[in-house]
Amino acid sequence: MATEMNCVRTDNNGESRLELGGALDALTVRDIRPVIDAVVADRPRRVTVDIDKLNLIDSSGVGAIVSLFKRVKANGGTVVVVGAREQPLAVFKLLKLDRVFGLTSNG
Amino acid sequence: MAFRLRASLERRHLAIDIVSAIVGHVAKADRNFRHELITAFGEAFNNIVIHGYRDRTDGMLDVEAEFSTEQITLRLSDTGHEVDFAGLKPPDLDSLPEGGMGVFMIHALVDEVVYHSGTPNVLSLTKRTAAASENDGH
Repeated sequence: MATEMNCVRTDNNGESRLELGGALDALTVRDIRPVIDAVVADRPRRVTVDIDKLNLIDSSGVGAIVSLFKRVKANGGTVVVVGAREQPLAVFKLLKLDRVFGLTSNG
Repeated sequence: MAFRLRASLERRHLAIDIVSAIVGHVAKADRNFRHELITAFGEAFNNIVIHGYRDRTDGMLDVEAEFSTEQITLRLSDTGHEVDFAGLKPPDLDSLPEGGMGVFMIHALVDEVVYHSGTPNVLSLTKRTAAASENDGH
């Protein structure tokens, strides 16, 4: 079930999209932090985090996405999370983040 | 059923895969049950590695699983520092915390959390299926 994490970033007209796959957890979160820092530095208007291919997340991974959310918002942008299902969706709901991130199943 | 592995984050995925396979023996467990148990186990694993063995790289973790068709207990034994698994103060979720959620998640996702510090420290996580809870009148 658990796998390594992979992240693909695409940018289009002031908007960034991060597609995350595999596992975002205490082990792999260090790989995504530089990506998050780079996204924040570019001050996008909107960031979409697509976690359709993410099959496992823990509190460390959630913390990284919350950090992205706070920093982009502080710059006047917005962050939405799309594609949540299975274990990651359950974790976001447990932590009451489904509404914060406008969680949808596609996007 | 039991297994032993090095307590390092590099072994996290392996440990979760083993627990996920063990949950398959709990006949009345559904997908949510499995998601919740492996999430709780993963948070416990993180805490033992990061806090319990914070100054060691040679620590080992023993995991013993006792299960029936309706429930499972995982016992995690380690010889690191004591970890605060009490979780008496839940995080303020409205403030969007970036950390400190792991122990809260463990308590929220399993039915019983018992921790005995010592040599070894033993953390027991028990989760019951809906069928087991109905039989107990819960």
